Amino acid sequence: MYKFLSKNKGLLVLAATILACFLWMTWQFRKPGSPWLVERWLNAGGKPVVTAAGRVGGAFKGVWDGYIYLVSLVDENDRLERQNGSLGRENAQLREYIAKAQRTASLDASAASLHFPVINASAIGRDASSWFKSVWIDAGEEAGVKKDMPAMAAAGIVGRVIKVYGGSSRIMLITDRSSAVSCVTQRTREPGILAGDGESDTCKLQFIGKQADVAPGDLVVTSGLDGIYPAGLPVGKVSRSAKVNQGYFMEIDVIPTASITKLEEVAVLMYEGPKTAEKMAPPVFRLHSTSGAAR
Amino acid sequence: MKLPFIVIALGAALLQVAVGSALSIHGIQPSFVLVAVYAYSITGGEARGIWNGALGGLIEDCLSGGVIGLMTSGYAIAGYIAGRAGKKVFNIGESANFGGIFIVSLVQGAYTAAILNAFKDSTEIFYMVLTFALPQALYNAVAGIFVLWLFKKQLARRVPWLRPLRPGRYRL
Repeated sequence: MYKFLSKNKGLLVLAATILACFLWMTWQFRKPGSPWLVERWLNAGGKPVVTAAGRVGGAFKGVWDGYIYLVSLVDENDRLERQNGSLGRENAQLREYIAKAQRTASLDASAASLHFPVINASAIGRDASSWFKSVWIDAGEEAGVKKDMPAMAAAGIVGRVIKVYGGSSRIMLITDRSSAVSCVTQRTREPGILAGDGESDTCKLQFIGKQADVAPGDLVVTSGLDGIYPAGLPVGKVSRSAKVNQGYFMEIDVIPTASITKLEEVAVLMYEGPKTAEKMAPPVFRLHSTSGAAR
Repeated sequence: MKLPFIVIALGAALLQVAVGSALSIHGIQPSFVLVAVYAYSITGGEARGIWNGALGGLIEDCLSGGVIGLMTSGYAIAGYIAGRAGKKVFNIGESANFGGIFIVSLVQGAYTAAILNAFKDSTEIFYMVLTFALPQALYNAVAGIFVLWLFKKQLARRVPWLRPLRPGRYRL
């Protein structure tokens, strides 16, 4: 016995590690609570690093764009030939500010029409893993963000808050595998569930019967039945609808109206729905941890 | 200068968060944490590999939207494989690293797909492995080769197979 244990020590340690992780994952599913302390520390400590890295990247992009811009204009206009690098950088930086102000104004106008107070936030990072689609934003508990609050860009919803830390929080995007949004098609009011694909930036509109009238170009909006998103928010447009031979339902692809891959600013809606779906639905395991701020 | 693994893993994870989306191809981004786990585990043995993998995975879990423990256990498996096979198989030259990273990444991906499948019945494990884990393993292998080449001199101090190999010194 001792010989077996000493010979397979590595394998036993691995088995113990996996078992511990399994128990830990199960615990998180069954007893949702606040994010783990180390998770909070890492996110609090990582936030300035990632923000700084993003600024360096943005500055590099600004210089690069400015340089390309100047090079292209040198051939066309002698006056711009005299522009120096600092002016170009300043110009690019100012344009970034203007673009950001325009996006924020657009976001505010869009959010104002909803009659919900919003918390504006900037995306500071993406998910560390390719398996999940989430964004890290610079607004957290201190700004009033709570778990399950919906987040949107000017063009439509982008996801919901799944983890809340002190000064930041994490939004699960609608393209994530675990995401499910109760939706209807605006034209024909066909109800369905919008699920993330996880592998691309499109979503699938599920559980719509073959007899339904859904065509490419149809706008998909939230139904409000899931208790997370208010009704009537634009989600995406149908890009493909097919009635396959097998199964009862149509295959419908939806492209989100908000630019998920280029997300820079988001508005977190201070909307806490009745959570009826959560109360009525049977207990199921979810891929994402349900940890976060207490409701 | 020798940097402890935790600093490397933390830096790699933050790099993924900050610039990962820029390197993303069809929603798949390379995992620098996995490359770091591989590089540090290959000569460290099984126990060191499990520790490195669990630590790297835990950091990635904390900076991810997933549940804590998923990457921790997945990377522990990857570290174990790298540690166990490292001294026997992967020390035959730099070209073997491509296969090494590919295999550990594929195993980790298949494990993650299996766990996701266990917690969500609608997810198809083989489909996920084929369309996600396999391309990610390929991407990790390519990115891993590049990263290892960048840090070749630093790693050569601790990883013998990164030194120029002479005929007759292969150990299979």
